[in-house]
Amino acid sequence: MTPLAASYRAALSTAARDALLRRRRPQSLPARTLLVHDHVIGEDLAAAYAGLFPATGPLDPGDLPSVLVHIAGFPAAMDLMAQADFPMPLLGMVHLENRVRHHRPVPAGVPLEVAASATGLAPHPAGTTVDLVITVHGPDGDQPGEGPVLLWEGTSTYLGRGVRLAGHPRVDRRPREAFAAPELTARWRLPASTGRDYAAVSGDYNPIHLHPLAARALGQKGMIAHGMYLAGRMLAGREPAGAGHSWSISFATPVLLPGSVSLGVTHSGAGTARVTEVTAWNARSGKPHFTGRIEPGERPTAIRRPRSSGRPWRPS
Amino acid sequence: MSTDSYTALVNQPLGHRLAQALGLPQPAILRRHRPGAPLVDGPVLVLGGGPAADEAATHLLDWGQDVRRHPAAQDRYGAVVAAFDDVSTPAELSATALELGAVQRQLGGSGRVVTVYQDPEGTPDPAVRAARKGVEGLTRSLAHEMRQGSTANGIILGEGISLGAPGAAGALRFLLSGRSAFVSGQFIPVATDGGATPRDWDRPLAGRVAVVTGAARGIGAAIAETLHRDGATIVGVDVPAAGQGLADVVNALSGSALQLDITAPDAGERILAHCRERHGRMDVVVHNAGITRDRKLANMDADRWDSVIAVNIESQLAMNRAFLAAAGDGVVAAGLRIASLASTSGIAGNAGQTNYAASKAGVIGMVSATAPLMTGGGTINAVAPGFIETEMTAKIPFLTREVARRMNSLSQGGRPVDVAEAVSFLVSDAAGGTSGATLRVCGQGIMGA
Amino acid sequence: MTENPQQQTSSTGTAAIAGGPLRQAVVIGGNRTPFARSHGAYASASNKDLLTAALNGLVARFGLQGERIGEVAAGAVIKHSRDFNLTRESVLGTVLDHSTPAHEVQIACATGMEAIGGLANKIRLGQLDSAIGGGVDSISDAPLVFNDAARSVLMELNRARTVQDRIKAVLRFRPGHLAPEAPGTEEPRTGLSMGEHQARTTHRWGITRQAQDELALASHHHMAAAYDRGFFDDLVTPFGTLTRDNNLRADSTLEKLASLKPAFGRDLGEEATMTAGNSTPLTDGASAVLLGSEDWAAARGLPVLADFVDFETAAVDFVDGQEGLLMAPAYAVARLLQRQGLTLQDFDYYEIHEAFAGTVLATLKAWEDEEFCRERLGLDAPLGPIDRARLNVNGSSLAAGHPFAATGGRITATLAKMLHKKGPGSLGLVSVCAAGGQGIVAILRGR
Repeated sequence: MTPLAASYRAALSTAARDALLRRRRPQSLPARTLLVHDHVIGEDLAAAYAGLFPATGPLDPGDLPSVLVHIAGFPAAMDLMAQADFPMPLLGMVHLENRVRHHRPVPAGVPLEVAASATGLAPHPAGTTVDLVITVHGPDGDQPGEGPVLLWEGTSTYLGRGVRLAGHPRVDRRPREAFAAPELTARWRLPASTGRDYAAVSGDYNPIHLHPLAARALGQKGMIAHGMYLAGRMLAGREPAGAGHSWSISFATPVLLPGSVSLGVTHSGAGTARVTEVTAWNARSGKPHFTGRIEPGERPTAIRRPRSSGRPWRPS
Repeated sequence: MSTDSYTALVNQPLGHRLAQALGLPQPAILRRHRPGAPLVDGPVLVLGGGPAADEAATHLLDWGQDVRRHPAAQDRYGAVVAAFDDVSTPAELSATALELGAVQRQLGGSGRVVTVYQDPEGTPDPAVRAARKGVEGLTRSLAHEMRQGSTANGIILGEGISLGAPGAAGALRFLLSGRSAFVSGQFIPVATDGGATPRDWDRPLAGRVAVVTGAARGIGAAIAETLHRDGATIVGVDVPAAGQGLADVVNALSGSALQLDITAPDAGERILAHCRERHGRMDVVVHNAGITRDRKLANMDADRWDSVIAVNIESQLAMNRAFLAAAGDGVVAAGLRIASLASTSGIAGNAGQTNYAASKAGVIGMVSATAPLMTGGGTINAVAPGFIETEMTAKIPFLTREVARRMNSLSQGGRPVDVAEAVSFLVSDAAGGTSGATLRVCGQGIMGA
Repeated sequence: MTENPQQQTSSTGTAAIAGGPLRQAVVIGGNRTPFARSHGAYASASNKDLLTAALNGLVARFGLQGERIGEVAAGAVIKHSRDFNLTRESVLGTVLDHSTPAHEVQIACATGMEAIGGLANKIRLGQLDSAIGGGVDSISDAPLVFNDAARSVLMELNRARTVQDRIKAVLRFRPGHLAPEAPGTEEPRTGLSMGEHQARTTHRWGITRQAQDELALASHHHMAAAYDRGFFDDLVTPFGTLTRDNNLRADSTLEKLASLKPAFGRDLGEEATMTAGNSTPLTDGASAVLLGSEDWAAARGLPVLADFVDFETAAVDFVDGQEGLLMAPAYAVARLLQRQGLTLQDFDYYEIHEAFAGTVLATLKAWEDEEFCRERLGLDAPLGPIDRARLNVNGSSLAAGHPFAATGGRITATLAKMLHKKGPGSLGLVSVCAAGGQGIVAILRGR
């Protein structure tokens, strides 16, 4: 798999070439699906991920958190977006939301098949959005001829700011709803190292998360937290054991680092109909950072997992 | 406790010569009681011709002492007992007095002279009373003349009481021993044949439960320690604010602590309840708790005056009423023994201490008036300390302190344990013949002499 | 006192654990240090110093020198890793027989209650004849912890075998690593302090500022009066420079309390009601309670103040605000009353730990709330109101302060003494909330 740093380098050089040659980007998405075979999420990485959220304790290596699975698929999506045939430049793209269906437990130490594709170019008041879809399959299922089992699928929506594609109508900005904070149930204090720590685990070394000067150079007010870090922290301790759940997160304003995020979590319904809704906001400015939602769904059966993680176990 | 480094200095060869050359006082290091140590260092010479001399010799032989009845020029004595119990006119003092004088230089360091005579008040005969009273004067003056930590004290036998009485034996032994190290020029009246000699002279309070107020520190702590050493189980009482020190003291003595303000109206009841519940008995009470709020009378305010009176004497009166009412109830011993701390300030007075002296003189009056009320052989006595080296006296400015501690026949301050020894003696059965008395522990301080 | 301190058992008959009947576990008495506001009077005292002092004071009060106590259980909520055996080390610093075993207990602010309750159960089962339960906390002595990054470097340095490895490890040091992580009362999963949590609960239950200030004032006045009439003479032994709790404000007034600015829940704006005056400050101190079988107490002529009847622990899911962080005792009381066949009105005294005035008032309101009692406690009818004249009559944590693990011992000894004065059969209810959404409640019966 292409390392993420290489993707950023490629994206930089593409951007430079675009600027130099005044080249026009393609107006449609590449039809390619990037496949990564035998991707293994190691227990070391899982432990490093767990270290990001010490309050919620260690992970079950047989049932990894959703965001860690996302981390596994993210380089493939980046690779797709960094190429010259992608209709919008990677650098400066804004992460708008994520929707994930986490069908079955994703174990560490098991070869996974990761696929990334781009879809759903759509106009947005501020430019054009695109959905990056990542699917993660495990080994073949128990039933004869069942084939690889779909474990996880996630869609990340990004905004190419200012990108206007031919044939897309202009979309008017919707009036912003006044934000009313719910009852505070938690507060996250995020130190300046939050972005660097998450980058070290996820490999996402986007400079806007690493250093305030780099972030300002790239148009941010300051160093900001990774959206997926916020998603991961929102989910920490709230994902049902045994997976089967779906969740989403929708970002409003970035979380500057270091900083403090106020959260209000509410639950409604019960059992499989129980819905957890999360609202995060900035107590000082009163502006929302993100909203999230977790639904438990039906609990599926877990896939087989090799007893020893020493020797890679391959699907037949 | 403040350290008397001068006494330590003059007991070094160089310091000794220096003090001698400068004509400075030369305080000796006093012989103090240690369990198991000999009663007296050296032979005891018994002088006099009356029955008391024989009785003294009998006691001393019982106690395993080397007793001499006739002075010998080469002997060095640990103590001399001079019996004047048979004098009927002052002229008869001469023989024994002069014999005593002749051997005075043969006394070793921390030696003892104990005179024995009959109570002057016991006779209406002018000549007899004059003779008896004369012994008092002789003893007091001799005490002033004693050197090297030696002391002279007297035992006053009540009418019909012989030196064979348990209380007299106890007084004799106390005065000969290291327990009376800082007692000099004093008299122990033995008025009755009450009391008993203990089975073990090193544990005269074995099996007794003793309440000590103000036990958290200083003299009170020393009393608790000494009574415990002598066999008593200690109930340490002190104000709640002194609880930490109190806990430390009683924990070292395997006693129990009772945090209590003794001026509380129910203080006596609470002490009784504690003793009843924890120990099932109360044999000894030592009223040691006391405070000073010094100020010349012209500058005295009500708070200073009243608090000193309340703590130092009113509380004792109130507690004694409760204890006496309960005496013989199965918890409070029928022969309850009470010792109360007075002060030489209460005898001689002291500038700046009108309130304190009033309270301490009050104690002296209280014990003498309470003594007849004691039932079942119980006794009540007071101990009046002179200058004692404590945290309190350590705060006195250096020069004043240095003068104060030398102003007695032993040229030094006493230690808390010296007061404690006197208390321990007075609350023991061996002092059962003495009640209503005040014993000074002052090294024959010139104050109130 | 027994003549034979080595005598270890006084059990008559077969122990319950061996098939015999259960027996009573009695509260003999207690002792504590005065409580001190943190970083003040006890700034130089360690947890061990404080706990040792509390134990030594207890030993002095009851003449336990050289006694082998069945077991000592205590703990501290915030302690050094070097104090892994804090209680045992403290016992070794006392004049108790050094063959007295000791163990650590920790359930946040309810540590003392758990220690005492667990020991009482062992006594009732016949496993112990005597025990001391208590706790200590000193924010002033709290360990400063290297942050995770620094710790990782230090551990690597520790593991390094070669000079190069060591140099490599040392080169990883960054100035930021030197910033220590100070201890706090933040809930790890929410990042909110206890006060912030309580502010939500207080707000949710509509507890007014005035009601909270009145409760705080009553606590101070009750405790000051209790000190003045000598109530604490046999419950507190001075430590260091303190002879009384130095958080106690005998001269506090409603006006003074009303003038304070909100300290918690400031985001609630006008509706913020919790101030430094109606919240308990961080405090240092230690407490210890002597428990025993009736035989053991009788053999030593020790007083029997109360029976430790029963206790119950509860926890609530507070993480996403489903329930208030400090509301667990409301649940525990319902279960305990049911088990003991009692009603909330059956008690002569209520000792509800005042973590915050709002905690006490919200708990009382919850017990009166039909919906809460039905929906949350599963009861047909509300537990109902209590006679407020029986609540914390000698003051509680708002006045004394709250050294987390020491509060259970303070309350148990205080209540036992009150019940003993009230008379045999009188009942007292203890309620102590704790971090982590937990709480312990207990019932004592006067003797």
